[in-house]
Amino acid sequence: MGKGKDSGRAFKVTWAAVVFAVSAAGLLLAARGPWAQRSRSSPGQRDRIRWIVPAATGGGFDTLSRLIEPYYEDALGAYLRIDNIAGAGTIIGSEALKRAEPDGRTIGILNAPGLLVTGLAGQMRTPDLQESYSILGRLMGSQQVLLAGADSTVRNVDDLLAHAGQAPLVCGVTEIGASNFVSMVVAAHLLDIEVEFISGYSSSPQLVLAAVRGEVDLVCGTFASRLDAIEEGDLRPILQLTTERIASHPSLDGVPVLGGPEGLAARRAAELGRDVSAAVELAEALDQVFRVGRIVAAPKGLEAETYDRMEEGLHRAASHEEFRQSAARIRFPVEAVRGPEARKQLQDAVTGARRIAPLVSEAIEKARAP
Amino acid sequence: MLQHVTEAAVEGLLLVLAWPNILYPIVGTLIAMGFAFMPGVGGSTLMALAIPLTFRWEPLPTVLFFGALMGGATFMGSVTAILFNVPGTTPNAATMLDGHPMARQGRARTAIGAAAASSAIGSSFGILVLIGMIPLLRQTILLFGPPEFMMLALWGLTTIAAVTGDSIVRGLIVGGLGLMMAMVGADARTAELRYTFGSPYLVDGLPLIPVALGLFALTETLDLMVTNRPTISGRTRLEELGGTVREGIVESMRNIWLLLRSSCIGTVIGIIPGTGGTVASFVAYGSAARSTRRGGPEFGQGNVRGVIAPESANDAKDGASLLPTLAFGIPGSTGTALLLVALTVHGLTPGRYIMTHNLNLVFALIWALFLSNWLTSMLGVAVVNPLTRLTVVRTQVLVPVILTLASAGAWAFRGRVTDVFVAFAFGFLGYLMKKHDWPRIPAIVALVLGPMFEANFHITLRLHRIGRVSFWHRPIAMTLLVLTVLSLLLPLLRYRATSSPEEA
Repeated sequence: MGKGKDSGRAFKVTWAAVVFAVSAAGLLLAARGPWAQRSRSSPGQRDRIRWIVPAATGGGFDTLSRLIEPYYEDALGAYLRIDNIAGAGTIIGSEALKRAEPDGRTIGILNAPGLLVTGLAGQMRTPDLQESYSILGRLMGSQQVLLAGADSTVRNVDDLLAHAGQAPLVCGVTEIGASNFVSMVVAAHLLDIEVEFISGYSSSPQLVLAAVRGEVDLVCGTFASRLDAIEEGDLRPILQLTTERIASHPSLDGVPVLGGPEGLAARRAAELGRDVSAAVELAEALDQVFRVGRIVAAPKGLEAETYDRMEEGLHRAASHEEFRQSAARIRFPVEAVRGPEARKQLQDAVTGARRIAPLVSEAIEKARAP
Repeated sequence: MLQHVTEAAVEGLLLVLAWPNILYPIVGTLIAMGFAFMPGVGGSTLMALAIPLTFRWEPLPTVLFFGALMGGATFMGSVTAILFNVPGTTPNAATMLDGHPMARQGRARTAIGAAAASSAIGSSFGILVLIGMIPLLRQTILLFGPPEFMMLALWGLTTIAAVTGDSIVRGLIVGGLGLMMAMVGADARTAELRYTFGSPYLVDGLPLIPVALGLFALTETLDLMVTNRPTISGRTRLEELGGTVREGIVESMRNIWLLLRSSCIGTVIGIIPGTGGTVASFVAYGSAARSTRRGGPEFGQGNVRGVIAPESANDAKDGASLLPTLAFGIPGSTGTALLLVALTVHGLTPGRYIMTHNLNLVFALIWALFLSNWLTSMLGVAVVNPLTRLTVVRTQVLVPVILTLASAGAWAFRGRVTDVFVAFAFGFLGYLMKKHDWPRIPAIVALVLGPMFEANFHITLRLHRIGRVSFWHRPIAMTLLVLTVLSLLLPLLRYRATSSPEEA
């Protein structure tokens, strides 16, 4: 790459080029930006509200946000623009929401269980959910279930318990400290079974394939996200990691529930001569962490009037029949909860996370040992 | 079964060609082409925006529209890669490695022609193979596990040896640094954070698009400024440009075996769930680089084979990646994840049911993708002259445009301003490397394939240790191991063969 024939001539940028460049950038931003979403929008007529999605385009959080967007717009009489700020397991987007002005022009969806679980791993600072946000409501809960591959030797919970004291069961997880890891750690502790973790699968769907291929005995995940694989016969639910039955789906017939006074954790604790009430509390703590699910929030400090308007609007949007039907079609089990109730659920989830923290920390340390 | 598949294929084709169904793939393609020309935006953003739009549509138009959106974005992203070194989508990063040097030599038309022909033929090949494989789909997918992923990545990493040219030591050093960059973020086994310096930005690792934009687009732009090269191609008039679209198409035909081989690579990688087009493009590029003939330009210096291989693999992958998505509901990319959402909204649940009861719709989707791929290639060729005119635009005009496009592309990738700074940091680093003759391609190859290798290496080791998989009894993994060894040995043998007579 030698010097060209114009070598030595000073490099000058023309004004025309600058104007063209700025126009190109503007075009690009218009295409990438959420302005592109609504051609009907006209500035000055309706307010614009930024809705932060702390995950990439196309994931569950993004899809749920886009599903509710038109109904929430109608309820508020404003335009929503979805802003995907992905990274660090939703921490970066959640931080962006926390730092925004509490003026009712920025809201977002939060992965409360994910943030709580990440906090348990202790490697990254996660925003304090109670101190940083005004909770407008909850859209969906998250119910964890323990599953086995269709051809696995573990066919039900009796097979699972039969492994107690024998060779460890192999459990696939996406990473040490992830939600599926935490669920398995608590369940294994309550059932007194030995588990060996195989971590590093790139995504939850890859875990399904690992179970189908027979590489791992068990996987954990939310019931809704595994429903397709269950209905296809690729996975079989073994245990509901909740305090009550997750859904009326026939695949859950005869599948025990971990928590509650009559749950498997209590029965197992009695068999093992352990403290039954402590086992029940631990199972409930696990359920509380996940039950809080996907919440919609604004930065802390929203004025009462603005809060009421946005909270009411979210409730109306989430109760809209069309929205619920669309969500049901894509297997999103919408369970809308209003702001004050969601705040209480969040408080329970934080308490639950504190309760399971020592167990999870110990398991993380053990799993990371060379 | 075969008769059922054939009937569904014909029915699917008739559905696409029927009026007014045909409009959906055509309009979808045109929209996707426009978006794909804007770096960093890509088809997935467009698909995300389109989901609410299609809520009230019937299933068939939705399927046709989304098939077109998937196909339309792929080829046009390579046009910006060739002209400006700015990849439209991540897989196009492999195309720019040789495509842009061709543009600098005044052969942009040849590069675009080769890309268009490879893209069209690659996609057709992928789709034809898939139609034949539908009855064996589930069994085929389940043949690929962590040992195969690991060996595929390792085989791809041997590309480094093939693209270092004369400076093997420098190439290996840069490849090693690329692997270190790939280790930034969470450890694949323990999830402990490495080299993040407490910054949340680095938790997910170094982002590929900003790094590639920096190392290539911004580096070349800096070089254009510093050397005062008058235009990208070094020519100031359109008539002075060499190469034609026809030449590019002829080159593709002349390298038909490479094209078919790369299409095979793309198809196989597409079938493996969760691997994606970037891996397909780079593995095919590596395979082409290792089998390069003597006499032509070096890889990375404007070898047309370096355009043909990634383009055909990337387009062949598109069709193939639909099948794990439809058969298992496991998306291989953001695009297929969004497609899943669009299908399930319309009651088309992926899995065995759709493959048996709605196979005609599956084929309608495949044919829409096929149509879109061909349409994009043809339209791309039709507008090649206005596009290549950009390579004779004065540097003073073009540099701000490329800088802006690259910056906006880096930002649009994830909506994070820090990505723009990272792109510029790698731009300066890349410029220093270029100035001092250090190869840059090994860094990108390592950054793409390093994480895939590391994660699957750990899983394979642990599964092997507890007796869940036996690496030595996996025919596909062993075949890839042999290919890897051969890829490492052949350059050495060639080197010995060429150096021996001189020593004698």
